[in-house]
Amino acid sequence: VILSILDIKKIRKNYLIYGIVLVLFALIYESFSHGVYSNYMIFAFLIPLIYGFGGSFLLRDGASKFGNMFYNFGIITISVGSVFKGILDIYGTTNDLLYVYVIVGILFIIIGTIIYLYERKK
Amino acid sequence: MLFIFSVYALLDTFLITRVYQEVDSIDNNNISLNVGDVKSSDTYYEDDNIKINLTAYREYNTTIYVADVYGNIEYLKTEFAKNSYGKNVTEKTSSMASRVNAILAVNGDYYGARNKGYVLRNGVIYRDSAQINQEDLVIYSDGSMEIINESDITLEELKNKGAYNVLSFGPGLIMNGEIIISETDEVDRSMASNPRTAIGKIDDNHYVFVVSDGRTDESAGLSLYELANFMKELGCDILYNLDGGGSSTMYFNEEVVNNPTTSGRGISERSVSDIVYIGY
Repeated sequence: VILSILDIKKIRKNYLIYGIVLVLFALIYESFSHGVYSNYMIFAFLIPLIYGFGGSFLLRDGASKFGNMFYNFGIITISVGSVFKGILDIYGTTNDLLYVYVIVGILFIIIGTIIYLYERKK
Repeated sequence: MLFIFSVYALLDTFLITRVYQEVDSIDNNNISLNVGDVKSSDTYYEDDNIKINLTAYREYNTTIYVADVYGNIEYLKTEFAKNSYGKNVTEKTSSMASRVNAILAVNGDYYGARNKGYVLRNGVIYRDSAQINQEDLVIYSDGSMEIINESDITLEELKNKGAYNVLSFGPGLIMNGEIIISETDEVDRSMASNPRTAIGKIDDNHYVFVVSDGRTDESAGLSLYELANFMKELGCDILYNLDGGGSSTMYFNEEVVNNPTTSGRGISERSVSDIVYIGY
C-alpha cells in the first residue's frame, strides 16, 4: 500500500492541526498552573511540526503507507509523552513511565523509517 | 492503546495508592507527662516544656504567619499521612496534626511526589536514593540544623552523624544568618509569588515555622528571596523552604490558621504526604 500526493498533503494538514491542538492545550493548561510552567508542555507542538509536518516533505509519491503509519505513531507517542512530562513538571512530580513514551516512540519512528527506506530501495 | 496507557500513567501518578511501609505512629499517649499548667489562646501556647508565639505579619502585600517555638528539639517531629510511607498516600495537614495531638504543624516536603530524594523521619531511613544537587534540611538530635546537598553525602552518613529528620524539598534560604539564594531563584519553573512554607532556627531551642498566604486578592504571595529577606530581619540563622503553593498549611491549637489555596478554586486544604510538627 503506497501514499499518493493527496495522502501526503493530508498528512501535512493533520500534523498542522495536531500542532495547533497541542499549542491550545498548553495555553489552557498553563493558564491554570499559577505561573508554574514547563518547556516540555510549551514546546510539545514542535515535535509534530518539525518531525511530522517538516518530515513529510521528504516523503515521495509512492512511499509506503505502512511505514508512514509507524512513523506517525512514533511522533504522536513522543509528543504526548512531552505533554505528560509537562503535566508532571507543573505538578512537581515524576514517574518512570515517562520512559515508555520515549522508548516506544523512538522504536516506532525507527521501524517506520526502515520500512520507508526498504520500500524505496525496491 | 496510547490513550489507555496515558490514562493509566496519569492514574499511577496522581491516584493509585502504594503503601511501601506502614509506620508506627509516635506514641502520643504519654501526653499525661508533666507539662504543668497549659496556657493557650489563638496565638499563644505555653506549658513547662514548650512555648509558642504565633504572629501574623503583613509584608510584600502578603500575610505571613510566623510561629516562634521555644523548646527542646525532642518536641520537633514529623508524621506521614495515614501512618504510611508510600506513593499517593495523602492526608490533610490538620488531620495528621490532630491525629498526633500536635500543638503546631506545617505541611512537610511532599516526598511522595518524587521518586528520589532522602527520606529520614524520626530516626528511620525510608528512602536513601540521592537526587543530584538536591538541597536538604538535616535536623540533628542535638537540636542543630544544617543544609546539605545530597550529591555530597549519603543518608547513612548523615544518620551516623546524628540526623533525626531529613527534609528534601528546598532550596535552603538562609544559612549562618546569611541569605543563600539569589533574587531570581525559584522552585523549578515557578513564578515569583506563591504561598510558602518554611522552617528554621533562630537560636538554641528557638525554632520558627513560617507559612505565607498567596494566589489570592488579599495576599499576593512571596518570592523565595522575599521570604528569606523577611526572615533574616527576624533574626533567622537557618531557614529552609518546604513544599509551597496549594500545600502551604499551618495548624495551631486545633485550627488551620492560614488560607490554603489547594487548586486555586477558593480556600481549601490540600492533602499532602507528611507534616512537621511540635508536640509530645
